[in-house]
Amino acid sequence: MAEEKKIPVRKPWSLHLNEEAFDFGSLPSGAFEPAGKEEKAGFIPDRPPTSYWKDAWRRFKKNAVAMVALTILVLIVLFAFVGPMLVPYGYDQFNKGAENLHPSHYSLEDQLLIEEKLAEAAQSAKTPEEALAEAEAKAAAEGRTLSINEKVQIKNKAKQAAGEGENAVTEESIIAQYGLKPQPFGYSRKELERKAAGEKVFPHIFGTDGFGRDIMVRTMIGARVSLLVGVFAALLVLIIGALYGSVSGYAGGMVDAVMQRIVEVIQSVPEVLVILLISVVLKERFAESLSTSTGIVGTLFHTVGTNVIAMFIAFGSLYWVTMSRIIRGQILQLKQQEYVTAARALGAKGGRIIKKHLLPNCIGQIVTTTFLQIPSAIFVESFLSYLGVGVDTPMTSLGSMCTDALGGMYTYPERLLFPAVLLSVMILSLNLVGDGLRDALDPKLKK
Amino acid sequence: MAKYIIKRVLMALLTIFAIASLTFFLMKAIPGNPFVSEKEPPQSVLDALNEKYGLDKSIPEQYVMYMGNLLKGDLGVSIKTQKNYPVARIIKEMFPTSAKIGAIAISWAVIVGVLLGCISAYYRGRAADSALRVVCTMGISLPSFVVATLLLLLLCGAGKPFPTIFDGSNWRSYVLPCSALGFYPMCYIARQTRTSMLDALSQEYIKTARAKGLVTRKIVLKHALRNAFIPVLTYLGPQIAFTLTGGFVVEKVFTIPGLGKYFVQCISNRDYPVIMGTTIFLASFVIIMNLIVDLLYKVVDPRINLAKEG
Repeated sequence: MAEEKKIPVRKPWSLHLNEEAFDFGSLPSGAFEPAGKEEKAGFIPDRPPTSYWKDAWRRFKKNAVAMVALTILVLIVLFAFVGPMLVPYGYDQFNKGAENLHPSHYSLEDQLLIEEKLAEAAQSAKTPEEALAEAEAKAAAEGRTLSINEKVQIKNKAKQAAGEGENAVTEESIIAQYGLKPQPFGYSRKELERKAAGEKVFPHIFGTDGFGRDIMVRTMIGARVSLLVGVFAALLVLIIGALYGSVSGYAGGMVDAVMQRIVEVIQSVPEVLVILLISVVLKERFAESLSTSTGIVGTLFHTVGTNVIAMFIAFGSLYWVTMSRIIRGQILQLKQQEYVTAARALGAKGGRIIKKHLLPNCIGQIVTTTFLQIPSAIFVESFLSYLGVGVDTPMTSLGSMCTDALGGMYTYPERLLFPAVLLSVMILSLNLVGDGLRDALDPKLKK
Repeated sequence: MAKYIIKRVLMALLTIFAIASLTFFLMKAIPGNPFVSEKEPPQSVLDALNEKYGLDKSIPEQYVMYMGNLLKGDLGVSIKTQKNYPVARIIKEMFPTSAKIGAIAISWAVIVGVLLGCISAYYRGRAADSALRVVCTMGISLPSFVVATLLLLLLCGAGKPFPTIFDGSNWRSYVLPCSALGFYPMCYIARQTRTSMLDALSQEYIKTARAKGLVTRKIVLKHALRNAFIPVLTYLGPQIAFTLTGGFVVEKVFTIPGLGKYFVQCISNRDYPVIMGTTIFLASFVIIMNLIVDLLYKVVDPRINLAKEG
């Protein structure tokens, strides 16, 4: 700007670019003016800049269904992870004297009444033999003998009175007769007595099973196992799928073709069937090596359980296919972009480009797909547990709780209902949150 | 077209081969000897058994033998559940019941699912659509054992419309298992139909049809549905696989004497030859069904250039 030179004044948006206009060395001194205070203020953004995640969260919050599902999910997570700390029973603790409790009880007075009435009924009833002897004595006094028909009738009458016939006095009939109302939550007799004595007793809110194990704690632990299995399986799928998909997509050519044929073979395999097969066999194999293995592998087997590891391997070895396809598709699209060419021109290696440029740009898809793997893993886990190839006892999962409950389904329907309902609600809310995530992270997809 | 068919058939054969090989190596991975039961048989008996089943040969030799047997349709014999009974015969006896239930389930799932999907798309945003979407989203979140046991609990037994014990000659016995089995595919298909129907309804040719003055019913059923049905067809393959595995659970719950229940029984009995043989059979069945569905795709929609896409 040292020397002044007359240059033709052109509007900055003019299309008629003049080479001279870019001769920055020869700009007139008055070409630039310092910006005023107001002008400067105009450039400060009115609101703080939003990041990708903030923006997505804002969109997610607008989705009422997804927000409700998220709330339910948070509650389930609290139930599964904080719940067991609040309940004084262990999931594998046998509470003696508290076996087979319903989630409701009759108050101590009512129970005493029932027992009293039952005892009365039992006392007044005679055994069939006694009744027969009495009737025979009576008949002998009248000077006749009883026919076989009469004998049978007398015996049957006595049987009825003793509680084997239709008009028998039973717990149910007493409850109906005196209009007794069940109280919420399950307490055993002993626990009720302790409570009456002023002791604080934690109720069995969902009742107990045949071994006296608290069903609520078991449901909590089952939900925890299901959730953990879902999350870890999804992560496993993410790692394998992202690696395979990005390499295949980035490499292209022959490598891609071969890798995609492998994917096609795995994709046409009926997954659940093969997962079932692999879990059955690996479970056996691991159970064998469980006793001999030491060190890290041994501890892992002992803490997680061989079945769960078998399940992970089976799930991870098949379910990554969808993930890899999605990532490959994204990478194929993205690698045509200019910034990738620029990075390559600057000498970046393939691994760096995938890690730093390509994967971050399809993060929305990756997060959504990973998240939606969780419910599908839980689905498969519950299926396997239901068939008896799931988690090992005494550990439990929602699926295996449902199988255990099948035996006493009509007497104790709640044992089936609690885990089944929780499992369904869990999968439903995970699916809904996943759908919400997809809409929020990938607005392009939303119709 | 011919090239495509050949390619697909080869791919299917390759997949079946891969599963058969996987099965063989998994079998080898099982610890212990298949003949060891509670009582340890004498060494001479073990040797004779090993020789009879070729277990004294090397692994590659065994592999070739196993594959050869598979080609002949020999899937081995049951070792626990029904001793020495050929697996192929077990499948032949048990599969028809399962197939019948599965076929009924998938048929009603497709018919009702497509219908509900059309209704949902046609009344988009209205009460009927919302209600159907809620039901279908719930439907794909309910594991089939939950649906099956709930139905059993609510509708089976004395004084209720359906029998608890399965009886193949009574149509009532089929109602609940088929409902339970078809529920998930029905919801899934309804959702897919809704999406592709919405897509089809927004196309130009629908406007043309409307402009010509066609009645709505005809537009939806003839013009839109034909195009909307094609994507639904692609989901049929996976749904067949699902119905097959879902059958394990449903047959267990309703105590149906089909292959599924038997399979589950063999899992708890650790009757490996049956597990392996049944897996190979069912997997091949699914793969062939998938192949047929994919080829049908071409028949239904001649616009698709398979050779290019495949």
